[in-house]
Amino acid sequence: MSAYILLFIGAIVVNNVVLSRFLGICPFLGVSKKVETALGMGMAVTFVITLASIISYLVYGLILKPLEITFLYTIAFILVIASLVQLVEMVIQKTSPSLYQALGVYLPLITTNCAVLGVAVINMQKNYNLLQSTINGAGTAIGFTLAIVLLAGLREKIEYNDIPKPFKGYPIVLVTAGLMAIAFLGFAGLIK
Amino acid sequence: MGNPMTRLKTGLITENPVFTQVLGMCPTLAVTTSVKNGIGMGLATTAVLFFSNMVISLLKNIIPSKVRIPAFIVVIATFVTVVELVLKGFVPALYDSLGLFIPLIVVNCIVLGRAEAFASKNGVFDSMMDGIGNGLGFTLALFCLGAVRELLGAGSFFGIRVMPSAFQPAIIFVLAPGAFIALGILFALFNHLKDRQPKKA
Amino acid sequence: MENQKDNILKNALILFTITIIAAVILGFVYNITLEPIAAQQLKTRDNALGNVLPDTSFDTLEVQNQETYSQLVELFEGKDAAGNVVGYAFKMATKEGYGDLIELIVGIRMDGTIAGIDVIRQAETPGLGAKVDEPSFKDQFAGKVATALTVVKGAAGAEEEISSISGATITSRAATNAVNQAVEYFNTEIAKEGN
Repeated sequence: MSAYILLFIGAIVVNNVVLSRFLGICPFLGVSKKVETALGMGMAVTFVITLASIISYLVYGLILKPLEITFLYTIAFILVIASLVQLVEMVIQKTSPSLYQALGVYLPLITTNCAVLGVAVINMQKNYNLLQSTINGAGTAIGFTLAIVLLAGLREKIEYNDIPKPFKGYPIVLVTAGLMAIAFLGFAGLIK
Repeated sequence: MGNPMTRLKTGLITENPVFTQVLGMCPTLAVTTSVKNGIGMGLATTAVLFFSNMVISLLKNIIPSKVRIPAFIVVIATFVTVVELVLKGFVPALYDSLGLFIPLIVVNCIVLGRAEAFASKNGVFDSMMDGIGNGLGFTLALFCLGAVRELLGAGSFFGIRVMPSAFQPAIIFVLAPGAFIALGILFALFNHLKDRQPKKA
Repeated sequence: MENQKDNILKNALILFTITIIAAVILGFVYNITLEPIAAQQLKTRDNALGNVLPDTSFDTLEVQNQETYSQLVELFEGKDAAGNVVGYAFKMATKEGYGDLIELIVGIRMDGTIAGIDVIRQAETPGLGAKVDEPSFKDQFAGKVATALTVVKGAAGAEEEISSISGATITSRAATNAVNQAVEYFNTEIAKEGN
């Protein structure tokens, strides 16, 4: 049991998907202007990553492995993710218009969020079982949400600061993210 | 659509995918711990871009617009897998050190971005040139960042120690935070140079 | 309405065809690269075997009690030209590293000293953990009497201490633990019965 808790916490802070594994940087930089939108993106990603971890685990174990076509994993996983995103979009639209309004715009962007494919591949490489894959997926996604919301909070604050002209826009965001990553390095000793 | 050299230059400098379009940030930050990894990743991506642009521009009239994104992704994923298998078979050391980020070329926004914005609307030859131009532009950015991080973080260049022995490598540059900060500063430098250019001309 | 349905079907069919063609092409490429990939893996393994126990020919042995020795992948018996057993080589794979798997070969001589180690696969951070494949780290193991080794920060003093790569304790510990498991196998499974 404690191994699963460690895996979960490790995925959130120690191996933070954005700040130490460098996955999902595009939305991290692109959709972090406001805390509100960042939170929306984070929630949509959490939803998709957790589901994608489970389904790609099943696809790998039940289809690719028995047929000995594991080399097709890249195509298989990305198709799973793309169809999943589409499906989630349709289901949310039908069942919960308010949730759709909150998450709708972010959903299409998730297909190309490399954190989703990244987690699926990591689960496969590390030979995680179904429970471990799900926990790793959920933990990673929460780590993503944490990072993007924190960055959005910082960006809201620095928006009105006097920044040297060449640093305006992305450069200062990258430096800010770097300082956040230093803070997250402090978690490295947390789990051996 | 202009001559091939202009296509190349557009991708390489004026519309550099990393420094002006802010695409493909994940591999840019992740694999640039050394110059060798940076260039390896850049060239692998260039190969994928070249072939996927070529095939997508050939298929542009067959693929229905409603399913074009999944179709593009399948084409891209195919070439990524080819690159993965070839690297594994012939350059295993590079394959191991790039690791996870080879399959992730599929979701590199540059590749899908060029397919959607250029290859699906232009001729085969122009699309191939566009692929090479953008690929090399990406490689150039990875090379710059890789050089800065390897020099400061490990005191070496291409794995060969170049800094004097008194130089104490700043390990932070090969760790995650160094990637963000070094790219931020390079980015600012790029902006600064771009701002100055019109005045000089 | 009928028309729309037709369209969806047609779209799905085209997409399906593209996917099938892609899979077939990949099947071909996979078959072509299968051999070079296997050859590469054998070559790096054999090079490493030659590095840890030079001038020996190797026979594969079956691993005993696999569940106890989770990191032990392959076991080899090394013989010299006259056919005498000079030592054993262990191919270890550990997940404890910072990056993906670390695979290494550990050579142990018949007299119970470590002949040397060689890393055949690692994806640690260049400039930090990747130094696990540099002589400054690997050479520390050669000549040590095969007992449980511990990783220390700074210079190693005692016989059973290994000096950690600076800034990469996790990697150093992962590699050393793999060596320790090889040593344990040698001491409990081989040395006991053999001599």
